[in-house]
Amino acid sequence: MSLELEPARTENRKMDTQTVEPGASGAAISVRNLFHAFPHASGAPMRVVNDVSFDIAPGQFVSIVGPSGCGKTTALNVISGLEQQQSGTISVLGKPPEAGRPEIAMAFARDALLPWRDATDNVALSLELQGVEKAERRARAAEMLKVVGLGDYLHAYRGQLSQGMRQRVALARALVTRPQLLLLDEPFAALDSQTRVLVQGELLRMLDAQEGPVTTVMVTHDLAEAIALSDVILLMSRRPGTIRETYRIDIPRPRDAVALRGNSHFNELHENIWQTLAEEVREV
Amino acid sequence: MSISTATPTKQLSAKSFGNSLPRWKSPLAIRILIIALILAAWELSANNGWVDPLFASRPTDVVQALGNILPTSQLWADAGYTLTEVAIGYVIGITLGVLIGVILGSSRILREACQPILNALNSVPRIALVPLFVAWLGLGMGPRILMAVTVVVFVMVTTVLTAMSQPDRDSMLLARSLGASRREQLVKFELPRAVPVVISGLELALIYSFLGVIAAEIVSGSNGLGSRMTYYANLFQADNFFAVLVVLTAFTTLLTAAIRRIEKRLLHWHKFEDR
Repeated sequence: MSLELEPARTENRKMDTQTVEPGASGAAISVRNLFHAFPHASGAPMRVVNDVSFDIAPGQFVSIVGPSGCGKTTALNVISGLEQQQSGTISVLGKPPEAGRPEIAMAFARDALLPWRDATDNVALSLELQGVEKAERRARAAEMLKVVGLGDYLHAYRGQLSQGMRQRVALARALVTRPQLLLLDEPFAALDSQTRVLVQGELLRMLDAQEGPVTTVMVTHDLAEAIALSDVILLMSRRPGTIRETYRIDIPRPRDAVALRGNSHFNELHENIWQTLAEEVREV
Repeated sequence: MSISTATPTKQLSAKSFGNSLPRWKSPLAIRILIIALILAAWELSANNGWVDPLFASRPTDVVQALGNILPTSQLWADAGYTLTEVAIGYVIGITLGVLIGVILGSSRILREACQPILNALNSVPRIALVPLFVAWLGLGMGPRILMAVTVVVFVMVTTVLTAMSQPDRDSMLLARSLGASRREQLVKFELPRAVPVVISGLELALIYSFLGVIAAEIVSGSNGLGSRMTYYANLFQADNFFAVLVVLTAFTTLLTAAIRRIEKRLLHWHKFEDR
């Protein structure tokens, strides 16, 4: 999009969230005035999310980055329905948030693979809970595992897989249901830095292999990972978190997560955004 | 189910380890060596009069006694009697234990209310109750079975409570995100995770069932291997006493090995964990 209009431009564009039309119709996710607080030892509730509003267009990959404890995971949990919504207006694919919707898939930092199931049956688990018949779900699971390069590990158990392989299985389990919306909570946080980049590449490949467009929201503290994967980055302030900046990432797709790391434009984006993020990280 | 089938699997697992140890350093060889050393020390002590063979017997005498008593119908009748008691006590104890365990495991209030009661009951020296059990149930199988039940129940309650108190937070989060119903959570996520703990509890419960039955037999009645051992001990026939003990140990070992075998088949995934 912006790349075709301004192909020579290497600087990222900043957008003010307030300029986005409130409740914009056609958005995959629309969040308005979200506040959230948790009970605190002191007695007074601790506010973690402070008036967050944003819209996410269908098919976009959006990352929410911010310092630890800024409420980004809480925001994601409210969108997913895992955390009870306390205030604001939220529309997720046209409906209020609710956990366990079949058109929405999730993946977490820890793979949560069931150790008594082999890789195929772990991937098939999500289809199984949606009532997909056994032969079909196993076939689709095997196909998905081949997409992430685990064709030789269809019958491997969790204990036989490396961390990176396990996380690929977890991502395959999320995407095998052909979701319209993918919610990721620090999906690469448990991996070492090299494996992390490789699995990011696998995620991009999996998303490309999907038939329809998949809207993705990823929470991460890793800015490089957010830039490599996203169309838009929402930068949150420290707690109580609010959206401080919105960045549009104009790196063309398909992207190569590994090769990107040496790219000068990538590094430039990283430096720009990091300056703002560092302010939020530093002022503790 | 013979002893010879148990050894090849051991060798196989050692082989798959990759680092090829010399044969004499295998666990099996070391095991045989330890047993041989103990038997030799025993034999030597008896022969040199360091212990009185009348009370301590000696391995060669025990082997001879085994040869004498194994063909007798009396021994097999006693063995059948004991095994029946063990089996009935085991099944009743497990059923009750799992039932109580599941009930307490699903209700925190009940668990907190009953835990001290259970602990107190479990610390009762059960063997002291045998005369009372005999007064209730006579001299037959009754008191022995009841004895086994009172021990096995507690093993299984503890096992089930342990298994149920370790929910995996990651998989519970996954279950919720996948929209699993309460029933699906139990069947697909929680119960399979509890299986390894429950199986090791079943193995322990079997040993305890033997323990309860034999203890009760020694104290009361005249049927069963425990009573047989008391009989020989009272006659100062230590070689026959040990021969019966060998038979008894053979039974418990074979039966626990059978449970282990089932466990291996059921938990083929388990050997990959624990890293």
